[in-house]
Amino acid sequence: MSFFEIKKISCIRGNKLLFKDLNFKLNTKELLVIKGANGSGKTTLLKILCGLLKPISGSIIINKKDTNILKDEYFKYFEYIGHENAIKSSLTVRENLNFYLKIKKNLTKKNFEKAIKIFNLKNLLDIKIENLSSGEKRRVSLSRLILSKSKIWFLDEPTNGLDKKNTLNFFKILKQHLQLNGLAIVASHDEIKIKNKNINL
Amino acid sequence: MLNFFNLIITDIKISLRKKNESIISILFFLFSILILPLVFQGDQEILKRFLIGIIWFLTLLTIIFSVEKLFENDYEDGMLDQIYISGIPLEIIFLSKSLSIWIITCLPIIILSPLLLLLFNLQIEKLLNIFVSLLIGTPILCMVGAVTSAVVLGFNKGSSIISLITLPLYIPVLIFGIEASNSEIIFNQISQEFKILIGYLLIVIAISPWIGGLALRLKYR
Repeated sequence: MSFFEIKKISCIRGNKLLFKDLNFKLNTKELLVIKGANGSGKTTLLKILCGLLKPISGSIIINKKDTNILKDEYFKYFEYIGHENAIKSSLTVRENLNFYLKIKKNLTKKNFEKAIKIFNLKNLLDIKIENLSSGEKRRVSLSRLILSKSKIWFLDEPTNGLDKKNTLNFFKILKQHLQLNGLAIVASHDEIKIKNKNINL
Repeated sequence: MLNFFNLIITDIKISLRKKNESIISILFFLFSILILPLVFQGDQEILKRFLIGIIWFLTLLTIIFSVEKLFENDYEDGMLDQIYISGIPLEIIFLSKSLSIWIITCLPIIILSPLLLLLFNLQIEKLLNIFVSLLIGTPILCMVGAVTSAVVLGFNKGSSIISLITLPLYIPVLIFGIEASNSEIIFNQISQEFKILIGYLLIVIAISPWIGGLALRLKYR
């Protein structure tokens, strides 16, 4: 029995059929890479998996439970890093992270120092987001993954804007997460050198 | 409940940081009133007659302008998605947003208007009246505006047309707000207009979180 499973998911967006009867199963320690051209529905699929959009048919099953029944409970299982960084430009890095620590139950303050260290944010902590470069903003956004206790990571083009060194660093973190019984679904154009399953949209 | 206050505190913090944007609406209100004597060519009598109406009208305009993009920023930078998947009910998100916009734009107006009216030699009782009626009326305007902003969220075209649909909902507030400001408070007895205004406020408080929450939920379908 796999930990995470989607059954027959179909989606129509703006009169266009994006995908039909999509199925896959994922176990812990596994990585799924979603590939596809621009506009093929990668972001839409990730949003459906997060419960941000409703598919026209199909179901998502986690740990043998349907997410439609779990409802808000389901949100604790995953951490989602979307296409946008979801950080406030007039707040500092620290304030942004603290905001998420306060409102999200799956994040823990315990890992704060670790997240700062891994993404090399120490010198940026008290700088306003509007003064950061796009790569730095992305790192702030990604650092939420380290704060999170959730098993599943949904990542939408996580390495967008990162330089080579930070990209490699990020994949190292992803690998560690998978080794620690994690599970990740990533939409990316990059070549990912970690062993993975993949689907083409 | 704690999250509710966290959202409000963060919103207020952000607006205090973005000084120019949050102050501009209050400056608009302030300057519009200060140039009124020029518009009425210094005629005290006419000015006094229309002053309260004009204050209400300017309050309405200020609120409509500042409430317009209430959810837009959070929606565009992905914050709304993140707040949603943190499990906070959309109704609570809606309420926190309306309360924070009320604190940011309306509270200064409510405090400033009686002081401004002092400049125009209005009777002291009238000042109390306008203070109380603004206190009751502005939350209604904010919540109706917030509902509009939630409904038009994500529409690029025609949003201005949709926002016109809710315009009639503002009008009772204007009518009874002005009447209440002009009414006389007799000891231990508040006037009819105040009662109607309070009734409208209670209805809006009871209904609008559900409509606003529903409008936001439609974005996640």
